[in-house]
Amino acid sequence: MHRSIPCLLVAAVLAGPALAQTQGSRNVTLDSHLPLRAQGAAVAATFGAPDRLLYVAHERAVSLIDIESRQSVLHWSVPAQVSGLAASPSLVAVATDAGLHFFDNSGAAMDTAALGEVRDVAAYRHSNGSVYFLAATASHIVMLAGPEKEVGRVAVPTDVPNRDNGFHGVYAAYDLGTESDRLYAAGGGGYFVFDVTNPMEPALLTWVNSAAVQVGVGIQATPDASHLVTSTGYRSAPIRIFDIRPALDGTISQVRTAAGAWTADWRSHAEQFEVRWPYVFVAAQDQGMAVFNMRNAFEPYTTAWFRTPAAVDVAVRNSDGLVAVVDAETGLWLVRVEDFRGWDGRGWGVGNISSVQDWINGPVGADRWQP
Amino acid sequence: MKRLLAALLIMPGPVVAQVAVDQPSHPPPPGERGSANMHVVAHVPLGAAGSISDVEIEQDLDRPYAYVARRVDEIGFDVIDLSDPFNARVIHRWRIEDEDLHSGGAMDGRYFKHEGRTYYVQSMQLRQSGPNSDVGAVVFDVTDLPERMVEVGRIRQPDNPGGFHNTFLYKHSSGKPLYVATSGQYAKVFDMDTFLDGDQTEMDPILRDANRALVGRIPVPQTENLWSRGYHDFYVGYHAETGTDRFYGGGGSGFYVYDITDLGSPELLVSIVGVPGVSWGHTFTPTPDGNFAVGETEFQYQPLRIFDLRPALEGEDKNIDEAVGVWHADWKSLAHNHEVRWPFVFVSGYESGLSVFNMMDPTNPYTVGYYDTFDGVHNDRIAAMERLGSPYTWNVYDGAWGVDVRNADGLIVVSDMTTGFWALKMDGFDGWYGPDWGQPDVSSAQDWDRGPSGGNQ
Repeated sequence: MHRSIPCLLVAAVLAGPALAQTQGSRNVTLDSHLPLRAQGAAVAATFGAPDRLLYVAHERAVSLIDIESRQSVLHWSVPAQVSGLAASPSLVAVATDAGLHFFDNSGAAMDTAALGEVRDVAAYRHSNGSVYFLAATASHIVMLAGPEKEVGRVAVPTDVPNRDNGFHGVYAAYDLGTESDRLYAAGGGGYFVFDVTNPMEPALLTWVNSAAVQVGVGIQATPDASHLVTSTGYRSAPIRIFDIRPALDGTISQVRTAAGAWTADWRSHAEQFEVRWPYVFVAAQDQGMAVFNMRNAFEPYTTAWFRTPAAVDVAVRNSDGLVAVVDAETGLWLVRVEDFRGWDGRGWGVGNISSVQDWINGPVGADRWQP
Repeated sequence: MKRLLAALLIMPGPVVAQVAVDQPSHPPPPGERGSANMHVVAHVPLGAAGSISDVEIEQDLDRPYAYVARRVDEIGFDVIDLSDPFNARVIHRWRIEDEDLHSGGAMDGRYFKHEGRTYYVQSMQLRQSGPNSDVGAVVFDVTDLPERMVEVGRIRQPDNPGGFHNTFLYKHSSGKPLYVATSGQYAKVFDMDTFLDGDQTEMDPILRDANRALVGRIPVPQTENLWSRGYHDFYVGYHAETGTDRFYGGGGSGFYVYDITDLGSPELLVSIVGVPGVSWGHTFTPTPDGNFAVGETEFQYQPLRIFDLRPALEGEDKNIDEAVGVWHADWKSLAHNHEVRWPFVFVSGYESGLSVFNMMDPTNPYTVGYYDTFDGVHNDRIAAMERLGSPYTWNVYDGAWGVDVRNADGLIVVSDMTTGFWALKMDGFDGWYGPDWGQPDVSSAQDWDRGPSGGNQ
C-alpha cells in the first residue's frame, strides 16, 4: 500500500537568520523544516541510496523525502506500530511491534519477518559482500539477508542480569584493525560486542556491564572500534563512552566504568545518536539536536545545538554534512553545522566507518584513500 | 563580616526567600566557591587526604561538640569543640591501640543520651588482616567533655567480621535507645541500654555473648538479580500519622521501608526496586511525614532521586519503580550522604562539596545553596592510574563524605575526605523544627529525653 505524492503539501521553510539564532547555537543553520503532520508523528529517519533520498518513519507509515526538492515524493502505510527503519539500495526494512516489514524502494510491500516485537533495525554491508538487516528483538539480534533469509542470530547471554529485557539497539561495523565484522548490541545487561565475520557463528567478544545501566538502549562504535558510545533509557542518564580496548586485549575481564559521559541536560536523556568521530550527533529529546566532540573521550563537550521540542532521531549525510533531525512533535528539521561539511573517516585519520554503508565497495580497505 | 556571622549564629534571622542557584563547574571562578548565601564558620584541616570519613554533631547547644571519624592513616575519631565556632578546634584525638597493626578505619559516628549520660558510638571497619576485625563499634562516655571521654565497651560481631559500615541511633517509641548497624545480610539492632548494663558481669567483655544486646535483625528482601545481600545505609524515623517506628534502608537492589515497631518481627511496607538506573541503594531518607524519601545510589552520573512512597503505603502494590523527581549538584559527580530538614536537603556530594536543595515540590527540586569544600582534581585519572593502574576506574569518590545539621541553630557541619572539618551557615536557615514547616518534628536528630513523638506536642 503506497502512493506517490509529487509536490504534495510539504512545508519547506527556508532558513531565516533570526530563527537560526534563536533556535540554535550560532554555528548551526536551519536549512528546512518539513512538519509532515499528515503522516503522523515521526519516529526515525535514515538516508537512502542515493542519499538525496531520506526515509522518515512515522508511527504507522513511511515517507520518502527528496532532499533536493524538500518534498515528500512517496509515502506508504505500515500495518503495525513503527519503531525504526533501515534501508539498502533495494530494500527498506521497517521495525514494528509485529515484526520486520520489508518494502522495495518504491514502497511496495514485500514479506514480513515474523520476529515479534522489533525495536531497532540496521543495515550493514558485510565484508563478505552481502547486505544484512539486523533486527533487535525482545530476545535476539536476528541477521537477515531478506524477509525470509535469516542467516544468524545472537541471544542475550544467559548469565547477564535483566536478560528478559532483550535487545533494544543494534549497530554493525567493520573493524579494520582485526579485519573482522562486528555486531554491537544494546539490551538487558548492558552492551555487547560480537564477532560476526561468520554470521552463522557469532562469537561474543566482550560485554559492558555498568552499574547504573541495567538495560542498554543505543549503541555505536567509534570508527577504530576502540570505544562504544551508548545510551540507556531513563531520565538523567547521560550518553556514556566506554573504552573497550582493555577488555578486548584481555587486560580486564569486563568493562564496567565509562571513560566519559555527555549530556545536553542531565534532567533529560537521549537515546538515538550518530557517531561521526570525533563528533556525535544526538537526538536529545526536549533539548533538540546537539553535537558533542569526543576526541578526548574522558571529557566530551558540546559543540553545537539546535532546539526542537522532542528530537527522537537524527541522521547525518556523509556526503555534505546535512543533518536530519526527527522531532516527534514538529516533524523533520534539516540543519547544517558550520564547520561540518561532510564526513569521511580517512580525513580524520580513522577508517571511513560509520552507519553509512559503502554499498559498492564494502568496508574492507576503508582506511585507505583509493588511488 | 565576622560580627555579622556571629549574629547569624545566635539570632533567629528572617526567613530569606529561597531562589534557585546554579552551582558552578569545577574549578569555580575566584570568590565563587560558595553561593552568596553560604558562609564558612569554621574550617579545620585534620590530616592526610583520604583519612577523613563521617561527621556527627550533638544537637544540644550546651554541648557544642562535633565528631569526625578517621580512617586509613589515622584510625579513630577527632572531637571538635565548637563553643567558639569561629575558632573551632580539635580537643581530643582518639586512636585505636596498636594503630599500625590495624587496617581499615572508623566510619560512621553517632551519639545518644541515656539516663543522664551522653555517649558517642564510633563504628569501625577493620580488615581481617589485622586485629579487631570483629569490632563493629566502640562506645564512649563523652558526658565529661571537654575534659575527658572514656571508652565503655566495644560491640563485636565475630560471626560477621569486617565491622559496621553505617549506623543509626534511634530513640524507639518503646523508649529504648537503639543502635542499628550494617552487619552481614542484616541491619542489626542493638539495645544500648542492655549494652551499657553489661558491666554487671565480671566476665571479660570480649568473651561475653556478643549478641546479648542484639534485639532485632532487619533483612534485605530477596529479589532476582540482587546487587548486594546486605544494607549499605539506613535511617529510622517515627511515623507520626500511624504511631509506628519505621526503618528506611538502602542496599540489596534498591530501597526498603519496614515497620519496626515490633523489633522481633519487622514488617516490610515498601520496596523500591526495578527503578531504571538504580541497581542498588546507598542512602535513603524520608521526609518527616514519611510520604516521600530521598534515595542515593553512589554511582557516578547518578542523581539523587525522590520517591513518592504513598502509592505503595496506601495501595496494594508494595513496590515503587519510578522516581518523581531528581536532583544533581553536578551531573559528572555524585552525591554521597544527605540530611533531610524538609523542605531542605543537605548533601555531602563528594567532589561537589556541600549542596542544599529545596524539595518542597518533590517533582522539581532545586539548589538553594552550596559550598565547594573539595579543592582537588575532579575525577582524577592520573591519580587513579597511579593508585589502581587504570584510568578507567572511577576516581570520583573524594571530597565531602558526611554532613550533619544542628537543629537548634541550623549550623551545618561537613567532613571532607581531603580538606577536613567544615562548619557553615546558610542565610535564612537558623534552625529546624518540623511543626514550623507543617511537618512532624522528625529528623535524624533524636529527642533523647521525650522520645520520637515528644517534639510534636
